[in-house]
Amino acid sequence: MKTKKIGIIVLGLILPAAILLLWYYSTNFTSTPESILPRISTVGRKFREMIQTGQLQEDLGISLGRVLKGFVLAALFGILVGSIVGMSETAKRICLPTITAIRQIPIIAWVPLIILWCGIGEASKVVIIVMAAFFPIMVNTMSGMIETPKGYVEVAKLYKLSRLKTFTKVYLPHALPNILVGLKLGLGVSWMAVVAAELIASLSGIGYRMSNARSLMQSDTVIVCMLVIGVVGIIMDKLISIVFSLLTPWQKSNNK
Amino acid sequence: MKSYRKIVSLLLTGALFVGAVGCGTGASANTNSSAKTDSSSEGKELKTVRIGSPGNDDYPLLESLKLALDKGFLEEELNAVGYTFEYTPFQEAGPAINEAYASKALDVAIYGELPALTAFSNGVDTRVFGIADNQMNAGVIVAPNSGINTPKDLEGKKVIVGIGTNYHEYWQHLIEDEGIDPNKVEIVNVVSDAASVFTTGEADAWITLYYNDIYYQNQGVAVDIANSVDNPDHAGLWLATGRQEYLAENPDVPVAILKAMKRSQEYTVEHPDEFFEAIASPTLGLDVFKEAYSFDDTFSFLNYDIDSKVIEKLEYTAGFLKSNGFVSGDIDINAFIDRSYIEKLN
Repeated sequence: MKTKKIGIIVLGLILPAAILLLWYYSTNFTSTPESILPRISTVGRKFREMIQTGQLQEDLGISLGRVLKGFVLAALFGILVGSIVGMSETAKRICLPTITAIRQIPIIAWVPLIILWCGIGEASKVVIIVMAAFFPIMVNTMSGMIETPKGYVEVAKLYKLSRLKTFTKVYLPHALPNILVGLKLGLGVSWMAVVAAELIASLSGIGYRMSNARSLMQSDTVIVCMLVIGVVGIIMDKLISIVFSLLTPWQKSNNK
Repeated sequence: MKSYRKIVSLLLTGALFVGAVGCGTGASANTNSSAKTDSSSEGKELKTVRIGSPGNDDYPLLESLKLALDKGFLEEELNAVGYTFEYTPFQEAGPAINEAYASKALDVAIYGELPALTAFSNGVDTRVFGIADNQMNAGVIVAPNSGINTPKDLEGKKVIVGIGTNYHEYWQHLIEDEGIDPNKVEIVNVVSDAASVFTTGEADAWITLYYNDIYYQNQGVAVDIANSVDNPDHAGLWLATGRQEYLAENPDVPVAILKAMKRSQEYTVEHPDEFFEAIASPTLGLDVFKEAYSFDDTFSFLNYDIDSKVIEKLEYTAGFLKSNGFVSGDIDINAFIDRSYIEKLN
């Protein structure tokens, strides 16, 4: 069992190790200029420098705060709208065509309008994250609700359960795995959207730091920010997976 | 089986369509070639020089080279030495041009001194060989009746400044000359969405290019409280730069470009209206550009030479980049300037 676990970890490390090796080779044994790809040691130095000055922690804290605010709101709206649309055929017919059309629009295209509607303060940044994370949560919640066996819903009707009880006792347990998948996707999207959000009149945050470094050709800072975004994304994904496995223990036994 | 084939053929058609569309356009830039053919009238093969500048198809920011491009001076001068050109406007301006330079996707670029020096200080081996405009003016606009009458009044207000751009450098000039306490000003860092932010009242002032300044004044939504027309030392530069490796291998190209720029300036003095028409953006209108560029009827701002005033400005920019921590070491301005092509021209 232990050997199997070690094997999985080793397999997971093959690709990152290969990338690092290729990176090391390109920057040490070819004429690739530092402005295109800085050396691993340069990126490491920049990382230490950003930690020592506290800039990285500050930017990360600000971005995480925005992600959490946006994600919580997106989760609330996404689950609410997804549940209504999934449970009611009429609501589905009214909302689904519009929602499907809106979710095709890239988030960056909304930016000028969001500035006009919400200004340039924190609100606009949170709204961008909410808009980005809302759709995966809503669509997955809706699918979970729609996939609930009709027979169970009929039984609930026979027992004359109220709409709320039908939701909590029948729909929700069935839709929960889908909702959790939506939340997981939504969290990932939120983390990606924060970079777009921080392009709006921002003076802090990991997205701002990245775009600012791009303007000044500081590719070492860009890479540090990218790595931090990647690592924090993995940590958040793992954390949410642990919470979900605790919430849906039957999923684990089903998988076995 | 039939439906499987149908799906596969649909997917292939889709992929081909996406491929055709995707490969046909650049992410941030469209490329225009000067010549329909790559052969000169004498039947010689013409080499292609790749030229870029900030802007878009409707409004390429080329300054003196824009008229040279429109009147065919650039094509004539390059053809005469066995070259043609391919022009690419970069919507994402300086940073995108620097990336194109770093990946050797561009040979010559006409752009601002701040991104040009940023690239040079980061090891991108470029040189400035001429000047497309030695007075790129900027201004500060505020809403009418805002109670803001001087730059000093901006303390306690929100001001739109594109960090790391020429506007940032102009802001630094105002801080130094007007005694503004920068800690008392809230900077709003937007560039592409600056107009929306300003016109919706989300910011109290906007530091922008002078023709924008004129346009919003003419629209009645802004008044000007300072500009570099009144103080030319605060204006930016528009440089003609090239990749050192390319310039060394193709020394006739920078000379031909300088010749085209020189002809452009001389032509402008004789026919100023044609210059205004060449540089005007269709969106802002001809009158705005006439007004914005009429501060000097000798058009000396189109002089291609790298004179002592230009060097002074480049040194100021280098100091500005260092003092703001945008670059770590000193920038050797003398190493960045290459006057040898100007000397060949004379």
